[in-house]
Amino acid sequence: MQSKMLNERARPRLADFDWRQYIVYIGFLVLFLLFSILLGSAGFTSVSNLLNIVRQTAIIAVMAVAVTFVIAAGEIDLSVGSVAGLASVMTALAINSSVGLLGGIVAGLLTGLVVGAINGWLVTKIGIPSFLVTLGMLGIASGTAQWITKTAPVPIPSTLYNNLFGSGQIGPIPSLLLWVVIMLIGGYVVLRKTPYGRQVLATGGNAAAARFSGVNTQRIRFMVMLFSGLFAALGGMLYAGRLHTGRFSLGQGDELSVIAAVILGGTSLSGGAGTVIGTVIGALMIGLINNGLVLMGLEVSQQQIIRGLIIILAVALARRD
Amino acid sequence: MTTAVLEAPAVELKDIVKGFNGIPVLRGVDFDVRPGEVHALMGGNGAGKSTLMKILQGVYATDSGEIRINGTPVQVRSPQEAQKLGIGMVFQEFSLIPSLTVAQNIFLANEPRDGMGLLNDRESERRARALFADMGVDIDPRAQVSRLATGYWQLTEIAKALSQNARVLIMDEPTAALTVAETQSLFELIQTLKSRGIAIVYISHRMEEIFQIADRITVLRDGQRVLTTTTANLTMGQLVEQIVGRKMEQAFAWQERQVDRTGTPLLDVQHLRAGKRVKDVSFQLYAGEILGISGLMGSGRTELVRALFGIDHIDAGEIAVNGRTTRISNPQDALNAHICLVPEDRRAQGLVLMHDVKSNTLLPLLDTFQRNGIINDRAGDRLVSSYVESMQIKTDSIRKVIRLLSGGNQQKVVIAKWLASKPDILLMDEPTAGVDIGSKTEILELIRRLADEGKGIIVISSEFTELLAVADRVLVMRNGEVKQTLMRQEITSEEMLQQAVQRASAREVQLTDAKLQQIQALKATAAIVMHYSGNDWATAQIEGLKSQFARMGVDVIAVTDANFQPEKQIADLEAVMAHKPNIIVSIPTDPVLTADTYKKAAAQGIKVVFMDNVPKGLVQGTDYVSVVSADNYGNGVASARLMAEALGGTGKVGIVFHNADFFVTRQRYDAFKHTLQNTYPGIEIVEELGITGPNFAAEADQAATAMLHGHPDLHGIWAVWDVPMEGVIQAIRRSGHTNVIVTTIDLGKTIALELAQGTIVKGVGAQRPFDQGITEATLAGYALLGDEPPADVIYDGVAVTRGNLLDAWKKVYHQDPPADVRAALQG
Repeated sequence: MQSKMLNERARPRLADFDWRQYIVYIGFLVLFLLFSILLGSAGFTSVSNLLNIVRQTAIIAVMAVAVTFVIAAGEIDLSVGSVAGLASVMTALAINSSVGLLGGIVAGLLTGLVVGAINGWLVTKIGIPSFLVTLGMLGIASGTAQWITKTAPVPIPSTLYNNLFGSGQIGPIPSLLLWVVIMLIGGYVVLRKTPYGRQVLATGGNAAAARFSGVNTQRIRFMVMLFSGLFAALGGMLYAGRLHTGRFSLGQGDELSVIAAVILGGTSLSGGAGTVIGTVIGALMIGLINNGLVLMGLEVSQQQIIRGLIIILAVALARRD
Repeated sequence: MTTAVLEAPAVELKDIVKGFNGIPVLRGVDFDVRPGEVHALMGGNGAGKSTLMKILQGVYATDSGEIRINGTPVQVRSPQEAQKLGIGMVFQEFSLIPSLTVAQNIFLANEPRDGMGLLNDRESERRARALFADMGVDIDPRAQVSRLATGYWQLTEIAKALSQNARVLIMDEPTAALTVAETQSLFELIQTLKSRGIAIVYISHRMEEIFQIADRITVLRDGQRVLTTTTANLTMGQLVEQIVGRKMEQAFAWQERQVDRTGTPLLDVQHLRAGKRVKDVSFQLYAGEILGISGLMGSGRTELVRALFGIDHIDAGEIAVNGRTTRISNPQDALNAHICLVPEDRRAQGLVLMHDVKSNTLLPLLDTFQRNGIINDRAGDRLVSSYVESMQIKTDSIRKVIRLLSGGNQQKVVIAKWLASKPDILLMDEPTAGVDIGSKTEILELIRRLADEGKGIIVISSEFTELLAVADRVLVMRNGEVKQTLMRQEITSEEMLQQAVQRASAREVQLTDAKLQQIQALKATAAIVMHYSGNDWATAQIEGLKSQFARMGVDVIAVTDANFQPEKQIADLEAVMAHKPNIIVSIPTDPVLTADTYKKAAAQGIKVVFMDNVPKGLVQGTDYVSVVSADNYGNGVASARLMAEALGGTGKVGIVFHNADFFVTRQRYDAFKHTLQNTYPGIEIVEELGITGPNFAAEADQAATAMLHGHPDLHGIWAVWDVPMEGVIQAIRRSGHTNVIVTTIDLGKTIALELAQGTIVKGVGAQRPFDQGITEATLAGYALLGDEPPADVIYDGVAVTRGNLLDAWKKVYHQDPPADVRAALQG
């Protein structure tokens, strides 16, 4: 009887469908349809506008994929925006120096790795909560970026760099979209299909149980912080490529959009559950809202209010019990 | 136990039907509970207990059926409605907020307001205090919950329910987190609540509790009621059968297993030291062996397996697995050595509750289920499904979130996840805690099967029955060390194991010269507060205390005697406390009435050391230092054996017992009676008479005279200590029945002389009061220096006959026997 019951219930039934899990997708579709109807004449549905949305949200999406792992592991990273800014100026400065293009890319990525490693080290070895560590790092990274550039923008003369990171197109497809797709697939596979991803979720779900199961939870927490730094730096480099300039203020304040995208996507703020596809859709949804509200001709103040309301509504709908 | 009068039920559930997704969970269940009654609701996994109670609490709606409260049909649509209808719930997992005070928790969301609409904390404190007074418990409403022991959390939960005028209380596993002492005070509270007419639904897996507390029992099985009856109509075996639906003595019966201990041990631990709790542990575990570890909480047993699994840091010592020295500094190392741990707390350490059965099972195995870094989901599904089936884990899908499974099934998942990783050595810390009886037997059977397959298994358990059912060998741990290793064959009873666990060897309690000097420098003072000082035992105890206090430079400022009267003892204590001694050594006359006064003394910073017994509700470490007891149970056993031997195994016996709720004398009486009944079927107990004091000798004289008159063929009389025994002896002499023999406990001087003469007194189970006194003083010294003393120290008794009287006397009194005793021995 036991095995029969098991077989019968092995396949999910329609009654088991939990629409709340898919609220971000439903919300995305609803908003998309709504804007298409309301703003079709204003050019919302044009290919160029849609690609615009992608461009505007791509960088948030890239950073948010890495932060999905951080939040799923029960940690938080508030420093991503500032790290992006710091990486953008490091890259720009390096490309302008003798090390050249490759050195510039290495400098940018290395910046993220170093910051991520410091964050991870402070969280795991010293035992400071990641909220406080990264709150501090937010200031340190931003301050450093301002200090070494004296708050001035640093132009990037390399067309190859700019095309690779953010400005280029392959046919009609912006390179930024490719970056998002790479992050989406990579992030999805790592979170869903690899031991590392499962261990991240287990650590966030119950760190003690994970540890008692042989998961090196300290290593997991270190790794998520490290990767978060790395991909925040990548985000900054994409900004720099897109604007042909490194500037400390690039990415400033992005941490809030990034966290909003992750949570909208369905990742649990207390850890243990996370979805990369949801995060990317969440990021796109934020871009969609921004774009739609602008096309509606709303003032910035009004846009902010409506954006806030939509985010709260979406998260409220996604709540279980 | 009182049976409730046949009153109208406070709550009646009639023909309740409930299903989920078409699967019936309750199929027409009737259940009722009457005012002033404790009705136990029992059943295995998925029997429907929690569903039924959730219906009563308004969490679920019924598919059909009726709920009546005081005879009126009602709808309970939400927990709030249930609350309004007077149904209160005491949660298994506490629903208190640790950072708030007791009063704030009780009135959470129901706070009394003042005229301005602001919270009136003083009023809620007043009401909380009134509630606690009503409940007869002493909790400070202003105390922060996190600072209270778990036992008080439970009481606060109950107060919270009562504050909402609950007439029906549902208690779900209320003792799961409580110590034995806390459980007893909970039971006392339940009695109080019963007398107030509160109806109690009691859910627990613990059989002993059910028989102690329940008036009626209802058993559910597969969603149907199989039995409702008064507790008195049922034996434990019958109840278990009803729950499980089959016989199960087998699971708890020990089967001797062959273990080859000649080769290389599977696990060889030498002088392991880890943290504060594991001081020096050495042992071997062989393939196919089940090694039990027994010890009190804090004995270091949990910390030992944590260290072996790499959770706690190992400071020193050597571990060899299969003869190869192995370094274990994290769980990964342990797993590489094929060592697995089923941890103590499955919810906190064993499972990711929000994840499903599959993810939890596969968590330690992720690396084996990957190809090129990608997890092979299908193989994982197959493996998990096979475990679900083979271990009979009840879940409707391997994707079911584990939080929704019952405790027994959750624990099976914890075990399954390790079995799948094919360990050689399985460490199991309380593997059946909080698990229903059906799952428990399955887990025990599984442990045996795994050992038969050649795995080495270490089982830690607080339940002696369980340990004795599976273990081939038992290590007794105390104070971070292995004190004893017992082969299962050597352990003849649970009591024997219990004694082994609780006994701290007195030899461990000593002061170095350096410490002695430190204490002398303190110029401390002490008071000795006795229950009674009218016997030689008390005198020797006081002598022992005084001699050791003198060595320690401690001034004894008072010695009091309450003559078994609690009021007198409280007055004594208060008088003594006014002199602010650093130490009080005392034996409580009454375990309940005196408790508060001792707590007050401890709160003043006085170090309290108990002789023999601790008042109810006192917490070791905060309320007192330690307790030093004589082995009263052991002495009772000894006096029974001595009597049986003197009578040649047959005869009629009378008992003169102490008719009071006094731990010490109760234990002796229980031990004497049980030993005769269980071991010497030829001896018949024909009469028992109680004495209450204060003139114990005269009362015992009367009692014995009555006995001898009523039973002219009496062969022996037992008296609970030496002073009553003196009365008994006089009665025997006067009646002329001089062939009647007696045994007792306590080697008083008069009794010793009688024993030396060898006519009437044939044997004495003697305590060692002088040594006890020395140890009590020493423990007080530990506390003065801020050292951590052992919680309990138990002294072995001495079985005294005419043959060993001389030696025994020296052992008991630290001096030679008086001249008349010596003369009588020679004569």
